[in-house]
Amino acid sequence: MSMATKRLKEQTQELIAQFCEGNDAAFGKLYDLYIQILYAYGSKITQDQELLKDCIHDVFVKVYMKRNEKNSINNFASYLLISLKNRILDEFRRKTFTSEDAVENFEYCFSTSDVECDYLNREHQNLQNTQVAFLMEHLTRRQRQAITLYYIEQRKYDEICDIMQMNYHSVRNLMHRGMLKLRAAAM
Amino acid sequence: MKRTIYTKVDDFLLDDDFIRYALDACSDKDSYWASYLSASPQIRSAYLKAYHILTHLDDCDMLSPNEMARLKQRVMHTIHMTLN
Repeated sequence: MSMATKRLKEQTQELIAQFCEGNDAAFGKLYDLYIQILYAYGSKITQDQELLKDCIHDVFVKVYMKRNEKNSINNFASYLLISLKNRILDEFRRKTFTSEDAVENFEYCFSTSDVECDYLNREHQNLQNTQVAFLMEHLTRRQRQAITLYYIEQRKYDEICDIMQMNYHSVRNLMHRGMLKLRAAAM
Repeated sequence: MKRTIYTKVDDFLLDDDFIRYALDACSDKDSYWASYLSASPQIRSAYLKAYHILTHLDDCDMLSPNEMARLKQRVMHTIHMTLN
């Protein structure tokens, strides 16, 4: 740990102690100590400066409101950064789901940041996975197995025949009926 | 615990445990994260970049003193309104 980090930590501890005793000036000093750190970190996650400032605002307000829960904030620096990150990600999520546009359009409009894109892609992927998992419930065990092997594990037909101990036509039939069911369920 | 190996700066930046490691854990040498130092050069450099973003302010975007003060005012205002 560098001297600067160590010094920051000591200062932080003192200020938190004073702040918990009701000293509002100490809260102001904590803000001064951490505002640039938060801003620098947040700007790596989002390019939207106004959104970032809103989120930083929320994080500090939350810290203030928690002042009576003594020791609830142990590691202040990481607590602040993690809170900020979660606030920003919540905002991405909220915008995605309240937006009438598709996720793709949303990325195009708002995001110039890789992190934001990545995050949205991942979120979109998760949603799709959940939907697929839900649809797969409609299949018989054998149908599910065949479709999983083919589409998810990307196996070839002869491998699937081996694994399932079935001939080619039976596997094709199984897949075909399975796909029909999936399509019907997805409507 | 089995983890995915991170390769991008952002992967590190969004990981709560990594944030705690960089800021609180005094960069514990026995930590899982310390093992990234012996990773391939590419992965190692992503790791170091993320580490430096979290622990330093050099080359980072900053708020102007003016914006800093204005945001602080907003925070205090909200707190005041919430409490009264």
